[in-house]
Amino acid sequence: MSTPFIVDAHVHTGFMSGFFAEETDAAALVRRMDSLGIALSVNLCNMVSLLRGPAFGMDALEKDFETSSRRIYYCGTFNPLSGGEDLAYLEKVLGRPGFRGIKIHPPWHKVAADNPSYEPVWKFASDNGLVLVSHTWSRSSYNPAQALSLPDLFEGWIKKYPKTRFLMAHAGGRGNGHAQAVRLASEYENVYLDCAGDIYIPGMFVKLKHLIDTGKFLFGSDWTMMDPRAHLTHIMLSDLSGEQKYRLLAGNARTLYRLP
Amino acid sequence: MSSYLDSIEKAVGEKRAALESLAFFDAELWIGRPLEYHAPTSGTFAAEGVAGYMESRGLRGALLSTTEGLLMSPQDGNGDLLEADGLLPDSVFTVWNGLPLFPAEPGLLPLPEKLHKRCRGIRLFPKSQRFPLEDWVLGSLADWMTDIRLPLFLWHVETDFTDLYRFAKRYPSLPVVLESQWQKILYPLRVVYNLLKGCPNILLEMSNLVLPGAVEYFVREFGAERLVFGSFYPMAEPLTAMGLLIDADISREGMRMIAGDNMRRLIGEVRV
Repeated sequence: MSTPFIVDAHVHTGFMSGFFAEETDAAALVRRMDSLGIALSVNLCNMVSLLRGPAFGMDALEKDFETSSRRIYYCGTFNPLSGGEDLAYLEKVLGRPGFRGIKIHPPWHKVAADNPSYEPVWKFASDNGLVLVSHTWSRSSYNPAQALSLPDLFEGWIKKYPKTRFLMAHAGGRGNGHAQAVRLASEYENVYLDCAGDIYIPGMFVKLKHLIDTGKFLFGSDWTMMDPRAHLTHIMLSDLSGEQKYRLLAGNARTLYRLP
Repeated sequence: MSSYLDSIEKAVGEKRAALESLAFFDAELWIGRPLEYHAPTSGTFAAEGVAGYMESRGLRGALLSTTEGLLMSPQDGNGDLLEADGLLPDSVFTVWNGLPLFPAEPGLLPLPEKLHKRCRGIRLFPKSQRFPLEDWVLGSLADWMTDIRLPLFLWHVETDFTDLYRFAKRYPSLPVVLESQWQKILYPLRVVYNLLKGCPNILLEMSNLVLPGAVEYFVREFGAERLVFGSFYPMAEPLTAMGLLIDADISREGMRMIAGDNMRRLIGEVRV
């Protein structure tokens, strides 16, 4: 890859408790980005922020942004169980140059996506021009908490906050949630999807060509858990035009996150 | 923009050339209905489509399995593989679904002296088909498979790793292919890597080995001779594993082994 231009719109940093991970910090991420022609990443976000709250992890994210020469942008987090505190902190750090959105994670925070306790973050994202990102997945026999993030559960918020740019991470997963996510992104102007995670669906990028064309589908890897290379060859060899590949790999993320 | 498009065009050319330069042998090609979890996003694939599919993907050979061995019964699944026989290219072999040899059960099962000519492996589903991976249940099957060097295939979600460790130690000459499906094998890797360290007769199939740098790590720790390419098509996109391999920072020789040589060697050793 001669000119690095790719934007990986879905990465994480931090040690993983539940499984072996060899690459975990920003320095390792930058090495991986350099080896694959990835110009920028969006961190969604470090494990400390996800598990303890933004006040515990966002300083490190801003530091990673600076030490990576402003290549690793990031999101804050909102846990509905500590919503007031989290929003007060996010308000304080508004304007930091690397801060681009807010991540919510219904299965990890154990609160269903349609619970009223999420309303403040939908409003906050709308008022402040931040992207709101949520983990989304399908029903899973081995991980029942995934049902808290079924894409259809978000539809009420999507309708109520049409100015909130809402990104469904993992495009609803591999099972029945995927069709829900595709429907919502196709029907609503403010809904976007990324391909992060093990959603290695045969022919997926061609099937979702219409979402690439409308700026709705973004490349993301889910590094530290997934290797960006798992999607890159599939994208490059898909029956898409060069422009469509560029939009999927970089252009759509640059527009959504307002990246340079 | 034009320099980005040039980069894309260059990458496309390089990836095509890398794929064409390797003689891929797919250890995980599946007919039958997709598994429930994968069904909403899977294509359908039948024996009639195997030859055309392999040509379109540049595959030089494959091991064909069927989900019906799990969704219906081992005997029904094996019957489907038998029925497919006349439709398959010579480079395609089959993996039959096995059961303990005792107590004997009716129907089409892989048995000593009755192994189908195209069969090059037996897959067990110990959890779903309700038996432990223990020598007092599977000893006679394991002895026979060891004797003819017939590989044992196991999805990682279908076995208890402690049982598998004991079993592989008990039968050190039995080749075992641990498959990375149907859930990603990322979560149990702390155990799996110790299993591989302790049991040299276990190989790993890579269709869902997606942890960053996993191919390089595997080759460094266990050697390229123990990793085998598989796609899990049509439930997964073949270019996922192909991409992880062609972009891996490993030797050309290692890449050739993983792409197909390891599996060709393994099935070449079967004494049918």
